[in-house]
Amino acid sequence: MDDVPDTGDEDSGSRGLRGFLRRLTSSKAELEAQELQKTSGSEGATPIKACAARRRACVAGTLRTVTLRPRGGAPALEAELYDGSDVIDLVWLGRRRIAGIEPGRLVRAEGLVSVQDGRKVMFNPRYELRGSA
Amino acid sequence: MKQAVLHAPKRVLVGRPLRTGQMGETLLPKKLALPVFCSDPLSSVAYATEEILLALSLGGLAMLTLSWWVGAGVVFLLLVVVASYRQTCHAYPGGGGAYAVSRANLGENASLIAASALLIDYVMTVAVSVAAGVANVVSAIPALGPHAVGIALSLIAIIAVMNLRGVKESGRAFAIPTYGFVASVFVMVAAGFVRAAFGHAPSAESASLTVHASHGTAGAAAVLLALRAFAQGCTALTGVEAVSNGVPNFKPPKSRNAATTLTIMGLLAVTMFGGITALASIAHVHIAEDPAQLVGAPRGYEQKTVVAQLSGAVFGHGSLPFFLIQAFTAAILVLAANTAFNGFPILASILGGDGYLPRQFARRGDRLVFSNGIVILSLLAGALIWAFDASTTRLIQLYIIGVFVSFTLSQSGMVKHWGDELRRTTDPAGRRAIHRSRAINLVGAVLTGLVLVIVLLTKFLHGAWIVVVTLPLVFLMMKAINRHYRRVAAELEPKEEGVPLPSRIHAIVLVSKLHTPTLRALAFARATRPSTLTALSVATSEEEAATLEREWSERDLPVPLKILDSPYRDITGPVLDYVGRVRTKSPRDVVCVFIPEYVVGRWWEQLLHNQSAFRLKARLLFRPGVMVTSVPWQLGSAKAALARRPEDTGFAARRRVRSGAA
Repeated sequence: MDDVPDTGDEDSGSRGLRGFLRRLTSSKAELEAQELQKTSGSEGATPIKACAARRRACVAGTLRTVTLRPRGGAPALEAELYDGSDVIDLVWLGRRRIAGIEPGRLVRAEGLVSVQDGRKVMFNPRYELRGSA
Repeated sequence: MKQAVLHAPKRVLVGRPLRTGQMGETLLPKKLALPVFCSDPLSSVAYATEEILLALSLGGLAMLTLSWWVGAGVVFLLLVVVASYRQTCHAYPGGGGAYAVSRANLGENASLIAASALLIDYVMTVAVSVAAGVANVVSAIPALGPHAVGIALSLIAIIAVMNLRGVKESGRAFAIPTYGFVASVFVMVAAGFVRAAFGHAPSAESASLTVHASHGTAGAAAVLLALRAFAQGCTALTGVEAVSNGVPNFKPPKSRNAATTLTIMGLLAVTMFGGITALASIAHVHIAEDPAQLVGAPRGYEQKTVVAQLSGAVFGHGSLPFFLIQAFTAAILVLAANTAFNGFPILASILGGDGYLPRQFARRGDRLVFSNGIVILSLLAGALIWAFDASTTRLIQLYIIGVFVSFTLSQSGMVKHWGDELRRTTDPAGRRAIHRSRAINLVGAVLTGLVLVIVLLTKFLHGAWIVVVTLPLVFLMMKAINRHYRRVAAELEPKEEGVPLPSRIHAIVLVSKLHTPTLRALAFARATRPSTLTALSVATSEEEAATLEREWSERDLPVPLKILDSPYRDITGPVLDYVGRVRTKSPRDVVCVFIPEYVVGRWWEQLLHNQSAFRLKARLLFRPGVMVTSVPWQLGSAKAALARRPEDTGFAARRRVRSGAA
């Protein structure tokens, strides 16, 4: 996922005015990523970037998007968890709504990581709501 | 409504729009072309003599005897230039004058130098002639002195509006002052000569004054002064190229009519200039740049213009002919700007068509004139007048350099043109004619080149350096514009393989609240049958997100609703981020973002709506592979505005029938 801002070496190769401007403009996203990585570390979770497919993992971060599926198809609740290093889709099959699973919520989730279309997905994870981010 | 309010005054000022087919009706017969294209060279006789005398008077009274020679030099030059430009009219009937000639014969750079010189000089022509006309008005009514800049600016505005009405109409309006000026100058010169022939020659009011020399007149200094006087007198030549630029505006046979007009103009200008110069010499008109140089002048003596002094001497001060001549002189000086108003837009349109200026210059307006060129010219000239405080003496120093640059280039181009023709022609009679034409143009090129050097040398320190600096800047600007256009054209050139069909379309409908515009956008997006369809909302507050979620499931909409978290409460950022992530799935995928928008009928409503939608749209347009679709929702005020707009009533009526269905 190349949209995840690189937090480690943001000023390598971007010196001068242009680099300064880029740091100024992208600082919000980087700030968020840094904060999230810190909290996920304190939760004792694996960074999503380091999660491998077909392994159980414990991840922690905020829910970036929550998708409300229309009635008709198979019910499922989908949410995207972001921990500052990468994103992972959390899918609860058979559920249409879970109280507390809403955008911006800090969540800790545990389950089997799989990869679909190049995206990491975790089906029916065990989750803990950790309050608002 | 805005349109209607703006339209009424425009209609009054500019007149009814003309159809493209009516183009032929705006072509000029010779008698109207003369005032349109020639008011500038004709008007300059009003001050060319004066400028010569002013320059000579720096060397004292003795130098004034040289005015004959300087005047003769100017007349000769004028005849040569007119003869040379007659050739151009025949050889390049497409107009464009110096630019077209040097482009065809001397290459791109030379033609751009000629064009930038001409563009600058047209602006100068407007500024100088309007300033000179206002100076005449102010000397008649001194109370207007403090408002000179304001008067000059409003005069420019009036001329611009006249020209926006169309070439033919402006020709009609300008015919009276032009012909009036020509007739009155002839009457004055004739009357003066008749009086001189009968023994009591007219004597100017300044004849008794002597001029105190402020410059040395020994040897080289005298030559330099004479040259400077000659350079000043060359203002009489400006505007000659306007005819050859405007050949397409003539009635057919275009080239012949243009050449004839040029000849008539040259003869009129030469006789008028010669007559005035001769009469000034007979009547002993003495004027000086600095009134302190005049010895024996009564206290508070106000220098009058040469034409005023002459008409006073011939007809007597305060007589009816005196006032008539003054009025016509002031009028034609202001109208001389009109020549530039015809030259500049045509040249700009040719340059715009060739991609050296913004393309808008090549577009004809409501009245089939190049409105953009007219507007830009009046703005530039107005700025110049404002910057130089409408002072003729300061402005005139910047003048005529551009003209002579373009003269020299176009004459050299013509020499080359005839050389090429000569290689193609075998018929001996034709070759003789070409040899003659080439000789005329060669003499013209050498002479104008010489004059250019003289003008540059004598005027450089007096302000001409501004032009010398500006000219390369304009040149570089045109090169840069052309480079840009060429680069864009190369970029837009369709490739051999064409454009591939997008493999998938991911539609995203932006949702802020669940209301009718959103539902309509959703319905429309579903009807376009995209590969995937998602409704996207940004949760700026938990309550709003919850409400939207609840309403969404209550309505049972068959579209998944994605709610984005926005940790920093802005809307644009998360949406852009999301769109970027959708895009990365496959390079040939296209993301289509549907944005519901309000259409409002009043300007202040615009401030209250759509702000985030506009911001988002502006940012999304920069993303590759993202299409943005506006789904407008006409509010009641917009519908009312539509009904008020006269040209859209048909559309409004048709829509009203179905508006309930939306």
